[in-house]
Amino acid sequence: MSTVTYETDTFIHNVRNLDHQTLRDLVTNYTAILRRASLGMGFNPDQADELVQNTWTTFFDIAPRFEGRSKIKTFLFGIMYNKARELRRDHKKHGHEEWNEFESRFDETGHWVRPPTDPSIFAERAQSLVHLEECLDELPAQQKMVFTLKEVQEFTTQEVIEVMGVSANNLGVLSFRAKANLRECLEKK
Amino acid sequence: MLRCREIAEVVADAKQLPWWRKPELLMHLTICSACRLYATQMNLISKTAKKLSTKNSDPVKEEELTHKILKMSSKTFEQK
Repeated sequence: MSTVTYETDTFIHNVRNLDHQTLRDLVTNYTAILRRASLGMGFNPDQADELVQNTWTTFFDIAPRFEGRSKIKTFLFGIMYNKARELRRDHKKHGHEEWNEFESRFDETGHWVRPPTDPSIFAERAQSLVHLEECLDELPAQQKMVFTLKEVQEFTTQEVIEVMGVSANNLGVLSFRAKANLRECLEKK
Repeated sequence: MLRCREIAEVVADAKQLPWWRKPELLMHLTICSACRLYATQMNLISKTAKKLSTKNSDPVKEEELTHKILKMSSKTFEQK
């Protein structure tokens, strides 16, 4: 099996050898976006700072084993994602409930029973960052992460797959459920 | 034939249709106002989501954190 490498050999060599300048560049380039994504995951500013610090500490520990099979960006976000899951086990159970809510909108032949309603009021709510954030906070952790990476940080599908270690199929399901659940939540606001 | 349930997945950008089924999608959206509305609402959510990134950005705090981590990393590597 051939191994895909995304980064140049020199770069991988520098990361593995903890080259000071390379690491400084990485920290300078990625700290802000890691922090923004942590906030997007629903952590408060202090927690986000801590999460980003833990991400870097772990990165410095495991960088000597970086093989370049994923991009450095997805490698970093992968660490952050796992740290976030350690920090906060998902207590919320809304996911299933709201999912049934989506399915109950269709009959067994796949036609609308309860079509979406209230176009103007919905539009107003959906354009409000506050409402969207509140609804985002109610999503199960995996859906929240998918939505944050894909829709907020605008990662490509392949990048999200690498960060979260899920299959393309699974990602499709998660990303659809995240968005459909958000829509249900916004409609109720 | 595409059902509304399936259209909902496609317009949420969670499922890709092969190119030869695109006309069927467009046709469906032309005649089905519920799916059209669903699609508009999904797009609206994506649009608002892009603005969340800016809202979560705090240049001062980001700068502070970057410095803190740079300091932390220099210490770590001076020891090595």
